[in-house]
Amino acid sequence: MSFASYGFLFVFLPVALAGYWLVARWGPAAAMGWLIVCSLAFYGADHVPFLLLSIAANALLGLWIAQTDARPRAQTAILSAGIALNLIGMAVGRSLDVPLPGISFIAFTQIGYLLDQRGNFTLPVMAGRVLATSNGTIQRLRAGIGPRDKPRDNEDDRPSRDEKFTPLYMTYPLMAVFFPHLIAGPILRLRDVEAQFADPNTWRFRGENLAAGGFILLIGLLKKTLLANPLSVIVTPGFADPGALGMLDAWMAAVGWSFQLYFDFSGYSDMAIGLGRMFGVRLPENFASPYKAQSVIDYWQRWHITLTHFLMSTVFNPLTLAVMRWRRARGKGTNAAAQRRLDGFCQMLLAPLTVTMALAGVWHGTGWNYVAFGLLHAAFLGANHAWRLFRPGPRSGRWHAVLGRVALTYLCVLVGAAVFRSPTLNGAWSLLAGAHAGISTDPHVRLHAAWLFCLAAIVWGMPNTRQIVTHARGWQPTVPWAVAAGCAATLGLLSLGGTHEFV
Amino acid sequence: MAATFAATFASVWLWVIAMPLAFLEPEYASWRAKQVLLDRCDLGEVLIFGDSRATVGIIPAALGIKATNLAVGGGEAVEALAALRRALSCPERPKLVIVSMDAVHFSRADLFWERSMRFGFLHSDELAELRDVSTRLGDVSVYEERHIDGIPSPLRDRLYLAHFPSYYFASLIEGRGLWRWQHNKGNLAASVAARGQYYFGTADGSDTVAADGQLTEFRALPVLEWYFGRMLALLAENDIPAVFLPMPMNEATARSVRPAVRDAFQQWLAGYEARYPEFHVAGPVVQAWPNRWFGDGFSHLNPAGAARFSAMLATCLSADIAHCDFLSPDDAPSVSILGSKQPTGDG
Amino acid sequence: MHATPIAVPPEIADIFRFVLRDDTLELTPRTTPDDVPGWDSMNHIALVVEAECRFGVCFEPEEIDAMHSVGDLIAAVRAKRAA
Repeated sequence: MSFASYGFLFVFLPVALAGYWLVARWGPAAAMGWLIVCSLAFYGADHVPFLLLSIAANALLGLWIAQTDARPRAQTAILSAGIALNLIGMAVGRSLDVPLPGISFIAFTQIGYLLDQRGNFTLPVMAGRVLATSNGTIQRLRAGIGPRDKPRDNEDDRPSRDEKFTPLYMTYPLMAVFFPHLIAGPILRLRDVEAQFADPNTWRFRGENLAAGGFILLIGLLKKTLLANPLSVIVTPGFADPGALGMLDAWMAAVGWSFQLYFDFSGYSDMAIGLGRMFGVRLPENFASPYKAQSVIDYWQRWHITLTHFLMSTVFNPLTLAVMRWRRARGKGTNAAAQRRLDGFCQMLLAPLTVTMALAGVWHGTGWNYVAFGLLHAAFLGANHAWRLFRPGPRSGRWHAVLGRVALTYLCVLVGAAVFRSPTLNGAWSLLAGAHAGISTDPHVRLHAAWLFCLAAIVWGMPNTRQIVTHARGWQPTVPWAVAAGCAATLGLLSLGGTHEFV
Repeated sequence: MAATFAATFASVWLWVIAMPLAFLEPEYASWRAKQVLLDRCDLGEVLIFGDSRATVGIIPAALGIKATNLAVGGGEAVEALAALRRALSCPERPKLVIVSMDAVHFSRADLFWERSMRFGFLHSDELAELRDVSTRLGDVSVYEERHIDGIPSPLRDRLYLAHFPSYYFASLIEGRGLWRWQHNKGNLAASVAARGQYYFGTADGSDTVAADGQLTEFRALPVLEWYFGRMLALLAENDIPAVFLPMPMNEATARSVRPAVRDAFQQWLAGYEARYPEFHVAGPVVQAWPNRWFGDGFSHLNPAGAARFSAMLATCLSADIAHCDFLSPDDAPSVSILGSKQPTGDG
Repeated sequence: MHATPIAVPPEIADIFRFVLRDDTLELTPRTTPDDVPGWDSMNHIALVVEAECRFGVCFEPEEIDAMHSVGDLIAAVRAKRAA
């Protein structure tokens, strides 16, 4: 079910909200339980068995991992098996006639959960209890598992009548299936939700959350339906037959695609964040004006942020750590000077980057264009790091220097996006190099160019959703805001009908 | 915020209901023209029902007899029966009904929701009948052809009948709200004057293979069979002779139509001929004309082609339309489809 | 979390100056990566690896992720050495 559909907005969501309003008064367990039920319904009866199987398998694996802290080798073996199973599940889920929705996001959420079961830094969520007193303080009771941590069951630890009790055993299932993020992220880690899930105050129906979340949901909806979807008119024909395009048409198709991808994905993320907020859950930001980045490194800190953080913490950092320890053990340097030498640069930076970005590419889809996309960005990032290492002086803050950096970064992103979208590498090359000597064969070239300029003004000139929301005066908006929001809501509802006429 | 939302949305809704000519796509004006003629009962002796090829190819003014072209773009038996019922409610009965739909328009749903419902061509009782017939026959291909909205069908039906503005958003944008008013008004007047006929593509030729050439088999949808049968039964009840008139297609398409598809379609129609004595099929279902008579990739005749075909039809009407020979215009086709005639003129 | 140290021990300051190749670096326990040019994710790991070598300790990836300031590194090293 798409967020931007009548069925979701006018049937599913009102039922989910109404049910939440009713059951939340019975306590956190009821509220969380209701959300789990809604999320399973959202995923659809056809696919729910897979989801339940995934949760059960990963829950058991997570318990097992948590029990083997004292046996690192066994823990590594179980963890590796768990990661492999999830990746196999991802590959299988993608290859079905009807691919499982959101399978890549689900796989990474599960892998992140398994990784978080190691060590003393995470409560064993399947067996822990968290107490929250009525004045909001949270006491953690480690009702651990295994011989070291026996469940404490003495008088002092039992909740009194006035204290609320949040069942931690529901944290993992809800995190895994929570419908706002289930299909297209943000990718959640335990640290993103643990504290707020454990706080009973989260599980109250609040008008303020409904208004704030609804506003963010509306912004996301409009980004998708009004800004992203209409660009198909320029993008689809362009990528279908790039060899037939003149240079201008080809670049308009590429730029149009970069905007479509941005508004569609960031719009969907906004909708996810807005939906989470409506139920009192704050999901992590996923986009922060990525096309305003002044370097490719900066771009990846602003684009699909949760994926970047996931790959950094699970792939890049461990790889880099292993390489550096390996070098240190052999008496080789790891500091900035060593990084500037060819062997150091290749081993400590380029190799982990290449592996990480190749994985990032493959995660997006099966096909050589995705691998090429990943490797291209590995090259861009490598070049960026090399520039920082070898020209480490402070960056000029002058406007033309900033403009140049933003333009160069966007150019790199544009090339990567064209490779990502094109069915073949040849097609991407045709598009970017311009197979046609002509300028344009598009009968509406002026209109389309003007339209792209307007979108560019939005991309580079306007604040992003979080900035808009932060600047809004709380959730009791002034009359102008209310009128604007009302008109936006009208546009949002109208735009569900689509922006393309049948020709 | 709620008040603003309600006010703005209601305003748009009112505009959509009251001023469709201001923003809807140009084809709406032509559909509206047919509704106007039906409402006025200004119909004549010959009525034409069918799909876009019939809409284009049969020029009532060229027939030498008062006729009205009630065929519509994407028209199938559902639309044809609805229009026929309205026509039969008029005091003057037609003397002849011409029905023309290609094989594709019996095999799958086309633009029922996008055109017939959005344009308000069908009413609530007709939509209810479609629902009931589809449910009874277990064939919801037309009724559920558009169900990507994800809402329950009864609600979706009501929204379409109420002209829910979201369904018109794309047209509101393309039409800038009211930019199409003048053009559509002109189109409407022209279509009424042309007694329902209008053109699609007007190029000087097309060698594109139309959808008929891509059919792998002919199998009529049960729901469309029901509507076609109902239509013929209604005509028989009213003693109105009817002719099924296959429209020509370009050579490229004719070459691509599989013999099994052609034969099955022909046989299927022959079954109705046997059942209804006053119903005849005028010629073979695949009639190839040279590419130059066609104006687009859907094998719609261009203005020259339509004029030529209508002139031939006029001749047939004055003779015996049931045995007309549309295979041989003055410029003969370069291929013979049935093998019975070997045309000799340049193609 | 750990209590913030009052001052930066010279051995820790030396690690930062060595890894980041800047002898003029002035650090406090509250110094974070945002305050120091060059203290990016890669050099963060290089700092930790250097600390591991010099102090004979070994950190888990989660412990490295949890270090967000000079003070965090100091406290983590002390905790490991005390264990």
